Amino acid sequence: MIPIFAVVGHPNKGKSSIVATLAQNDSIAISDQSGTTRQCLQIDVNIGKVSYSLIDTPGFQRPTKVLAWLQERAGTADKRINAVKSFLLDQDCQRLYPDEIQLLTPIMNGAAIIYVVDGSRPYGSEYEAEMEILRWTGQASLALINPIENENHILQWQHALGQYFKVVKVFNAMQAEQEKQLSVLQAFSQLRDDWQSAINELIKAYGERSKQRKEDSTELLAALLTTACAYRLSQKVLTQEQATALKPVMEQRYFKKLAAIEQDHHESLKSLLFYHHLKSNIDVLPDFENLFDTEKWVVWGLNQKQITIAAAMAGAAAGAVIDLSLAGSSLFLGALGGSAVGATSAWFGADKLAGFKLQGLPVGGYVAQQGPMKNRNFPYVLLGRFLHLENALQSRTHARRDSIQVTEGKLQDRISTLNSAQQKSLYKALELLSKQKPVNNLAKVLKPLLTPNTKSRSG
Amino acid sequence: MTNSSHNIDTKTIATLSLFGLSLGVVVGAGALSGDDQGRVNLLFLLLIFAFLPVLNLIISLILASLKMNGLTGAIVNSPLWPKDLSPTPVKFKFERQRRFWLFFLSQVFSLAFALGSILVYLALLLGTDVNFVWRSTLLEAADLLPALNLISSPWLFWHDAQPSLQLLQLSQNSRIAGQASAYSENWWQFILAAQLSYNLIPRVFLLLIARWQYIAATGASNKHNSQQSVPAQDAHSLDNSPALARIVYTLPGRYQLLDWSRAPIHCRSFITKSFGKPIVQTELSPMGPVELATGSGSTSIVVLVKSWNAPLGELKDTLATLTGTESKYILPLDWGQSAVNVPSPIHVKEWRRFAATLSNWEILQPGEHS
Repeated sequence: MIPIFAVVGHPNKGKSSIVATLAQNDSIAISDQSGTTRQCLQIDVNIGKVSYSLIDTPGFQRPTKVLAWLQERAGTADKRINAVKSFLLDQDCQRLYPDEIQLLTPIMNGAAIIYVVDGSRPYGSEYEAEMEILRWTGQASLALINPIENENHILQWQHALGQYFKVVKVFNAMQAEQEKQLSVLQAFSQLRDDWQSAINELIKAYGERSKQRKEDSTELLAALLTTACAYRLSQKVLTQEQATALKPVMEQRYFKKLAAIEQDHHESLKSLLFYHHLKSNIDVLPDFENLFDTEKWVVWGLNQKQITIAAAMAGAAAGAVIDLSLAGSSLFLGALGGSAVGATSAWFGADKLAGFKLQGLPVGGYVAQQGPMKNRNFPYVLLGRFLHLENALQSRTHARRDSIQVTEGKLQDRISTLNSAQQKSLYKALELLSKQKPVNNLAKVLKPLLTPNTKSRSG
Repeated sequence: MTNSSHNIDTKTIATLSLFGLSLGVVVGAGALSGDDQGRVNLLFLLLIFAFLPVLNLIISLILASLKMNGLTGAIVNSPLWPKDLSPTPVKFKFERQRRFWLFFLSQVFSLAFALGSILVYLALLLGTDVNFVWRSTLLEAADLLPALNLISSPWLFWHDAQPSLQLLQLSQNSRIAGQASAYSENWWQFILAAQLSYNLIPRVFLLLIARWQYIAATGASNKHNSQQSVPAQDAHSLDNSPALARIVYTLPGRYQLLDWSRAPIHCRSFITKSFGKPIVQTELSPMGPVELATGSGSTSIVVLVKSWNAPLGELKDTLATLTGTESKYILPLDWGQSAVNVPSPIHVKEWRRFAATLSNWEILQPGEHS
C-alpha cells in the first residue's frame, strides 16, 4: 500500500512549500499569489524501490458554507462521513464549492491529511470551519505549524490545533532538515496502522538514499579534482611563431574550459541533491586576468602558510613510506627529509601556474600545450569551493526559491575536523593531484570531509 | 551526453569490436587449423566454442555482480590503451556509470569475439574440408553421447545438428585404428549450433541488457537523478501581470464599517483615528445577512479584513451581494496584540488583485499621517 498525503489548509499558508520540502523537489511551483493552485497536484516521490505521494491541494475558499451544508445533512457523528461523501457527489456543490470538492476528493479516497497553518500569525476562529470539515472526513491527520515569518504565535496555534489533531508539529518549510521531514512520515505510521510497514520502508530508503548521495557527492568531488588538475589543452602548430601567436588564445580557452569543468560538476552536485532550478552564485574560477593573483585563491583554498604546512605533511608522509620500506633503518630521516623538501618547494612554488609548453613532433611541426595547472593550491581551491557549495545546498530546503550565495569559505576549518591520519592522506592526495599523479582511492580520502556528522557542518 | 562523449563511445566501441573480432578470427582459425590432414579435434572445439564462452559468461556476470571491472576494465585502463579512448572522469562522474559502461564494453568485445570465431568457422567450412574427429584413451562413444546430448539440448528442434551414437563412432579417431569416416564432417552443424547457443546468442542478450543498464545509468544522471514525477503544473494558474484595484487613503464622507476579521478593539480605535468614526459598525459573516445602514446622504462601505489572510471565495460571494452603494472599500490591516502595523506590500497587492476582480471595489489604506 502506497501512503498518500493531502496537504491542505487556508490559501497561501505554505502548502506548496511544505510539499516541495517533503518531496525534496524544487520543481514545485510556489507563489505569493493565493488561489494559484486550482486543482490537486499529485507528486509521486520514489525513494529507491519504495514510494509515496503528496497531493498539493487548493486552499479552502468557502469552509463556513460547506460546513453549514454538511451540518444540515448529518445530525449525529456517525453520519458525518456519508455527508462528506454526499457533498462530493452533489452537482450543486461541485458548481458552488469547486475548491473544497478538489481538496476533499483525495482525502475521501484515502489520503491522510497534513493540515498547514502559519505560526507567525495569530490564530483566528475563521480556521475552525475548515478544521471541523477535515475532522468529519475521519481520515488520519496531523497539523504542521509553518512559521513563515516568525514563531510568535506557535503556542497559541498548538493550543487550538491540539483540539482537532492528534499530532501537531512545528515545521519550517524553509529550514526543516531531513530528520524533521522524516518525523512527519513517522507520525503517520502511528496514526495509520496499515501504513506502518510502508512508512518504515520509506524511512529506511531515505537513509539509504542519503548515504548514496553522500557517496555520489564524494565521487563527484574526486572526479572534479582529477579532471581539473589533469586538464591540459594541446594544439598542433607548424612553426614556433604560430605557437607564440596562439599562446594567449590557448590560455584563455584553457581557463574557460577549467571553469566549465568546475561549473559542470557543481551543476551535477545540485542535481544530485535535487536542485533542478536553483541558481547558485559562486564566483567562477578566477579568470585569466586575476588567475595570477593567487592571493584571491586564499578565499577558497589555503593561505601560503597553510599550503606549506600541508605540503610538509604530505612530504613527511612520503618520507614515512621510505622509512617503512627501509624497516626504520633510516631512523626516520626519510620523514624529516621529505618534510623539508615538501615545505621548501611549496613555499617557492606557491604562485606556479599552468605552464605553456612547445614540443617538436618527429614528423615536423610542434604541439603547443597549455596546462596542466601546477599550482599547489589549485586542488584546495576546487575542494573548498565544492565543499562550501555542498554545505550550502545541504543547509537549505527545496521550498526556497532564492538563489544560493556562496561567497567564501574556510577550508582549513573543514580540514581541521579531520584526524591527523585523514589530514595526511588528504594533503598527500592533493599534492599528488597537483603533480598530475594518480591517486588511489581519492573518493575514500575525501569522504570524511563530506560526512554530515563532522563538526564543520554548521552551514 | 555531449557530442564529444558520443564520439568517444563510437570510437571506443569500434576499436574494441575490431580487437574482439580479430581475436575471435585468430583464436577460431587456430582452433580449426587441425593437423596436417585437416582433422580437428571435436572435444577441443567444444572446449573453445562452448565450455570457455560459458565459463567466461559466468565470470563476467560474477564480476559484474561484485561491481568489479573485469578484463575489459583492465584493457581500457592499461597503458597500451589509446588515451583518447579512455573513459575519462569527465564522462563518468560516478563510479556506477563507469562500471555499467565497462560492462557494456565487455559485452561488445565478447560479441565481436564470438562473431569473429563464427565467421572464421564458416569461412573455413566453405574454403576447406574440415574433418571433425575425436580422440580419447578412456572414453567410448557411448560414454560421450549423454554429455553431447546435454550440450545440444538448446537446439533440440535442429535435428541435423544433434549428435548420435553412430556419428560418434564413425568420427572416433585413433592413431592405431587410422582414419575416421568421411561422415565426420557432419559435425559442423553441431559445432555451429554450439557456437550460436553458448557464445553468440547469450552475448547478444547480455549486450542488450548492458546497453539498457548503461543508458539507464547515464540517463538517470542526465535527468539529474530525478526520482520524482512532477506533473505539468497546469494546476497552478499564475497571473504574472494581474489587474490591481486602486488604493485610496481617504474616504469621501460617512462610512459604515463591516468587520470580516473580528478585529480587536485597538484596531477599531485605529480606524476611527484614521478615518473618523463610522456611522455603524457591524460584523460581516459569510452566513449572516448583510445589514447596511439606511439614511440620508451617501455612505461608503468599508470592509475590514486581516491583511495577512488571503481573500477567500466566501468573502467574494458576500461582497458581491453588497450592491447599490457607490463607494466600496476593502481595508486590509495588520495588527498585533496591542498595535496596528503597516501591512506588507505583498499582502496589499494580494488584496488589490482580489478587489480588481470585483465590481467597483477599491483598497483603503491609512495615510502616512496615521
